[in-house]
Amino acid sequence: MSPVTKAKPDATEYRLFTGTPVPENLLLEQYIAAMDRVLQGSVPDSTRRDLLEETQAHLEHAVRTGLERGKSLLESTQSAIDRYGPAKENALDYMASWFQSESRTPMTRKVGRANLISYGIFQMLVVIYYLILQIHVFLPGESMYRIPFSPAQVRDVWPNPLPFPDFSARFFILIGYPLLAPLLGGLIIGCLIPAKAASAVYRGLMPLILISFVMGALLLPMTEGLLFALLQVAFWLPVGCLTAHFSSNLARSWRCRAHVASAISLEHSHSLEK
Amino acid sequence: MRPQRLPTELIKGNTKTLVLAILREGPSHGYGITHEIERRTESAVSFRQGTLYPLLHELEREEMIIGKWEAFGDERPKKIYTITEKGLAELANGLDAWKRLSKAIMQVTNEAPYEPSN
Repeated sequence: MSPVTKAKPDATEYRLFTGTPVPENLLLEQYIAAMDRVLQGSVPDSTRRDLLEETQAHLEHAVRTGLERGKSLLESTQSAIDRYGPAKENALDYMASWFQSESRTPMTRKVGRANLISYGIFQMLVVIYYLILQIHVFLPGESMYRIPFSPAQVRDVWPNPLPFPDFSARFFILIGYPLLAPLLGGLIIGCLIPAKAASAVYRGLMPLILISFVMGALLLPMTEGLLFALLQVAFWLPVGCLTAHFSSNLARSWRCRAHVASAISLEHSHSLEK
Repeated sequence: MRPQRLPTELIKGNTKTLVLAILREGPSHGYGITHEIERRTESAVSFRQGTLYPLLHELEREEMIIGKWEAFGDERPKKIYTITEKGLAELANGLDAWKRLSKAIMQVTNEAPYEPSN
């Protein structure tokens, strides 16, 4: 069977002016599809359709204006898209604005819904860590445990490998929890916040880091508090932001796939009914 | 000569006022609003056009503008926005704040108010 070849349409075949049918414009279609892929499943259908319709009307108007000024179809489409901005970025901006608009309380409206969610989750993780530390302090294990090594202790073991001070479950919880907490926090935040989750983590975590530094300064000469604040800056912040970013992207693509699958199955059941 | 583009952060905080000011003079659609802002400012105020729609929809949710789909001939329907009383009040507040800020800056820098040279 010979392959079916489709003749490439000439620019003049596109009829864009008033009173004529809307032309086929592959670049515009691709642009709208790219926006749709980001929005599907994360934004209500009616809102998404409104935005895509408006975007398409806007871009077609811009293309038409370009053609009227003597530009080719490709040039005017490219220029319209350039001026409109990247599809994914625009869709994410819209999603972030929509997510914020769903705020119900004055507090979320003022501080930002995404920021407050992020702050709340990390605050909870910090409180859990403090509770673990309290248990450790008031129910001391059999072996000695100290997070910061004194210079003398470091000098004693360096460059030899650091020995494991303890193999108890409590030791692994105390060390493992602060290492896993930002991953867990980022994961939850990414699933809850559909767009710009990393910046929400940054805004939510910064006040907590400042509080940790103040607490750490108050706890001096014990250095554990300051060490925890440093751990938050050097580890929690970057890891939390990155995890939230990737988890948000992943959750969005899952939602999109689930939405498409449900739309297909709905259409299939309708066709079977007919 | 074209005026130099204004810094994005200066524009960002005032886009709402600019949009409401354009709509005060009559209903318009998204493309019309961006085009009019760029035309009047000789492209000194120019932003990524896609950022306009989150703002327009936010203003609509806050009932400062009303959007209504209208079809022109065989063209794709466009959403036409009209300013409301609440939008006019917000515009007045925005303009007042801007004038006070502008005056304060002039007072601090001892500069005369800007007058465009023809």
